[in-house]
Amino acid sequence: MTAAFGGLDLCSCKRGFFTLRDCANSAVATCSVCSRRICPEHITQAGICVECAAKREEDAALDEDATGYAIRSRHRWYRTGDYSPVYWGTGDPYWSDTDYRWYDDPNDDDDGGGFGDS
Amino acid sequence: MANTVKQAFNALTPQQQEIVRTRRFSGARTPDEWIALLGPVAEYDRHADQVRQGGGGFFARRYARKNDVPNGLRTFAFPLLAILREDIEPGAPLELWVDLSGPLQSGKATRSTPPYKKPPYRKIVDTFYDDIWLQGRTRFADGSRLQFAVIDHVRSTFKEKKNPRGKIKRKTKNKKKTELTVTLTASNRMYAKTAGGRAAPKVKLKPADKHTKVTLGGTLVAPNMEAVPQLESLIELISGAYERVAPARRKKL
Repeated sequence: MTAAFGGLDLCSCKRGFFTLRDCANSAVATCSVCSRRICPEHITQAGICVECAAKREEDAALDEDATGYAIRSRHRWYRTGDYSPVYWGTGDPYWSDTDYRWYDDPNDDDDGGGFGDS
Repeated sequence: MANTVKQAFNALTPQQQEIVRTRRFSGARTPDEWIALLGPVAEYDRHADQVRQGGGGFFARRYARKNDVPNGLRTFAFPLLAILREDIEPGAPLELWVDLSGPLQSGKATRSTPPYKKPPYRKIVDTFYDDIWLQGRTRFADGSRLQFAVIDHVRSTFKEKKNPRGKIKRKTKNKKKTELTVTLTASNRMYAKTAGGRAAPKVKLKPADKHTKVTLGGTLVAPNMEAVPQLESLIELISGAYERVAPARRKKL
């Protein structure tokens, strides 16, 4: 599974803690668990993405840097803190089991994947 | 036995050594720059705390005691950087004001009660201190602005009594409460006010033409003077603020 858009091979992980958005970094590796394309910031030394490492509670792999720590804390907070983040990213089946909040209006100017107005 | 704490202190940059000495710093930097500056200081404090608790020789323990960094940096401010870094707009600065020099200073005293009597004490004076030891301000990638503060409110009670043998006994007791407050200013282009959201002791919602300002706060009773609140308490307030607004449009950030 790749997050290619317009020929760009972008990282599939989501940035953010209170809100989620797409990572804008270029992907360089594939997660051996979820098979998504991942950037250097979101891949662990074990070869899996930080989001999979957080789901599998592989704390040692996530203690390496600030990103790993934040993703581990985020995963725990969503589970134990009963928090639903605001979702500003493109649709991703990886997040389907996460309760998140987004604007769901069929009449809205859905610019997902297009050139967003600023 | 080598003084590993002194070695660790000497390995810090002059700026980091200054933070350890003064326990104060402020500025506007990106989260990555803050992490690069404070990471070695937090690591030094972790090592010094281990040594202080019996992990080193006499001189190392003494050095660690004299050059200690309050745990608020290592257990609260530093981990918070990694979490805020996720939401902060790339390249946007995080303004921080940190003062870990402690609350019991004359400059932080807000008021004192006139001396009063309460048997068996012949003189009691309560002095109140407000210590804003962490303040921050930044802009998130979704256009929202976040301000937060952690304030220690301390009541220091000085008591004096004369015992039956005529000896004067004096003691001072300190009690601390920690107030956390968060203000999220969400743009109306992205968010709309919504009902619900987790409960918080203080909630203020102020809608305006261009933005909605959500302020949440709460106070925790500290078990002792050294206690630092859990980082989750601040995360809970920021989460509560976001729960009071809902996305008003669909947009990919």
